[in-house]
Amino acid sequence: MAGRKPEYVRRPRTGWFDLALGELWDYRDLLATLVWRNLTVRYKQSAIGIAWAILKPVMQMVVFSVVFGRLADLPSDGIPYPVFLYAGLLPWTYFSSTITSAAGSLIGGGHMINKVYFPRMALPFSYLFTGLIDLALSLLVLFGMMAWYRAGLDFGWRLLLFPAFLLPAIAAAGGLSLWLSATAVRYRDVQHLVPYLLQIGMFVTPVVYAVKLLPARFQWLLQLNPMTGVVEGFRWSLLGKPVAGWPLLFGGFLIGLLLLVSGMVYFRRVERTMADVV
Amino acid sequence: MNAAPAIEARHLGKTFRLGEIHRDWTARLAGWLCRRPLPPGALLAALADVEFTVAEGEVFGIIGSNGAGKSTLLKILAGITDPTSGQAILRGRIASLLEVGTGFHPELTGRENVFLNGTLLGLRQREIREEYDRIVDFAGLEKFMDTPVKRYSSGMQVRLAFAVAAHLRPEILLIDEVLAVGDVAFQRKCLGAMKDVAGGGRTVLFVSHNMAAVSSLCHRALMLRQGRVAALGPTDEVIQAYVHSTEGVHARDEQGFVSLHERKPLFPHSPLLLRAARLVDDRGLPVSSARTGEPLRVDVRVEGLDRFPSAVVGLTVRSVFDQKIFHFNTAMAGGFGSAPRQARETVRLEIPELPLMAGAYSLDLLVFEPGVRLIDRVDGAAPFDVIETDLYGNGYRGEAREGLIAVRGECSIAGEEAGA
Repeated sequence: MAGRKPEYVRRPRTGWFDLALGELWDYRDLLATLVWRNLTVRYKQSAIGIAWAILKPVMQMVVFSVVFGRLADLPSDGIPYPVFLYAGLLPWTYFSSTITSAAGSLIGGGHMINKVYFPRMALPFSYLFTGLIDLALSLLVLFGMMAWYRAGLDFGWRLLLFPAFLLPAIAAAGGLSLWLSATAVRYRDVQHLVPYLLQIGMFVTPVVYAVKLLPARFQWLLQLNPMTGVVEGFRWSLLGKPVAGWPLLFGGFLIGLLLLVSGMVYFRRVERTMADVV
Repeated sequence: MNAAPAIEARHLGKTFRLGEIHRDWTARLAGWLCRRPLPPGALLAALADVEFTVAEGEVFGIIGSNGAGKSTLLKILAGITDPTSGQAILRGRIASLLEVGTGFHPELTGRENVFLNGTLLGLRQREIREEYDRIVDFAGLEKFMDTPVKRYSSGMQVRLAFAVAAHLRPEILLIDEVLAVGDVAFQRKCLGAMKDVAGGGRTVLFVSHNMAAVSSLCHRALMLRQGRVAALGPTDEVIQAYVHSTEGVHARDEQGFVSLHERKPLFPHSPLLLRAARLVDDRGLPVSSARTGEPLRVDVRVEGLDRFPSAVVGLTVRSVFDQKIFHFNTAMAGGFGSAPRQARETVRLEIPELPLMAGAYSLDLLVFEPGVRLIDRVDGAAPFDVIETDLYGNGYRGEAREGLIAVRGECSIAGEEAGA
């Protein structure tokens, strides 16, 4: 009887690689509730509610299409610019809005961290899933646009592959969210810095332009950015655009994974004193 | 049962570094630039060398004054923060209740918050669905479950939050001061719910200032003072130790007066009129105890009675459970008459027959202008013991646990019941 009881030991923690993933799994219901809290709270007392999830990237697409497509006339690999842009904007919006929300999630949830024990990773991670729901809604618009412009609809089997290209985006967004949210607990400066970092990030990712805009000898630089592979992969699977080099995709995936694992290790370190500091 | 204890703490300690975090960082940089070693940072031991065990099914109280380390201890046991030394082992599913309604979001409805709060406390969604009707019923908020919590009164929020907490089914429950909120009727309901938990074979760790609650709920207790275990044992003994520990904190002068100088004013800029106090016996010598049925004399050094001619000096005696037992003041005694008053006076308050049973008591002092304002007050200014006497002339020894007030009476056989 006593043998079945869980045993918890509270002692000063040492070591680097106790990621406590099992515990996170035990709290999956909390994670689900948080995901759904993030969604509901955002659209409470708003007239059109969840429609904002669709409208925001659409409005951004219209503005960027005019500025970068019409005025700057950036190349788009032969695909109608709005479709080309929107297919890149979707994963990027997922990435940036997830990080923006997640970076402040521990500070916003400080009252919970101080009063209850739960795996703290649940807070930043919940935004990874909230973002996926937004992304799914925005995809409907993309399919509509593809039909309108008659672009990309004949790449049926590749379409099945596109969720795979989301994985590096989730890994990278998750990793950076952990790094930033844990650092923000101690240094609130992070919250001021994040919007600018993301703005820079968007321009070093081929969202509004095609990779070939860069001189060939600099294209490898884009490889360091895990989102390059994601954006390219999206366009390849959805629009049939040729990929500017497969190493780009796998390199991005590796870097995303590296961010995620290092983020978890770092987060677990900071977690020990989080309640004393936040 | 010879099972392993539910909670086992060994050499548990936690040290905080004082000062602001960023000072720390800049100081480190400056030290590095100047090639000078870091000044030793100010450290605060919030807990040191705490040891105790709690058996399975036991209800265990933790008491101590503010800053004694009670909350830190609870946070370590709950896993919210790590100790810096020692260890604690907890055997069983844990729920901690350091506050009611943690995670409540004002924009979400009552129903949504029940799920959010419940999963945060470690419940599965399925478990919450099963208990949902009982939770709503306990809170008495059937009609408001689809209303955002921001439109609730604070009392309603507390009720809903406690209802969720009362339906946790942990093996170990850690509770901190949650009863300090809500109205009296609801508090009683919560105490009842906690008694059910306590009676249900669960291990409960209960931190509180409410000695009455600790005394009625807990089998054993632990008293912390400045982060260390000051007393550990049966609840009543530990509570007695707690009451006595407040004594001796104040230094006495050669005439036995306890200084009341060093404290914050009651209100910003309000004067500190109460200077010092002592208990004296019939010969005017300082004492720290009184006797049942005999006089209680309190000397109070007061300042500024010349500036506040209508001021009344009073005392309030409280039990260890912080209940007020009686109040007496100079206006009740007919005032001071028209004698001119100096800037500093010693006022003696005397109660000829102290109607208190043997036990520990505390005494508040206050100066006020009746119907106008409170000028100064010191809570717990003079803790004292009441010592038993042969009040009834027949050797019967009364005790405070039978009832605080000492009364005299008579008895007789009133004959057969009428009509029988």
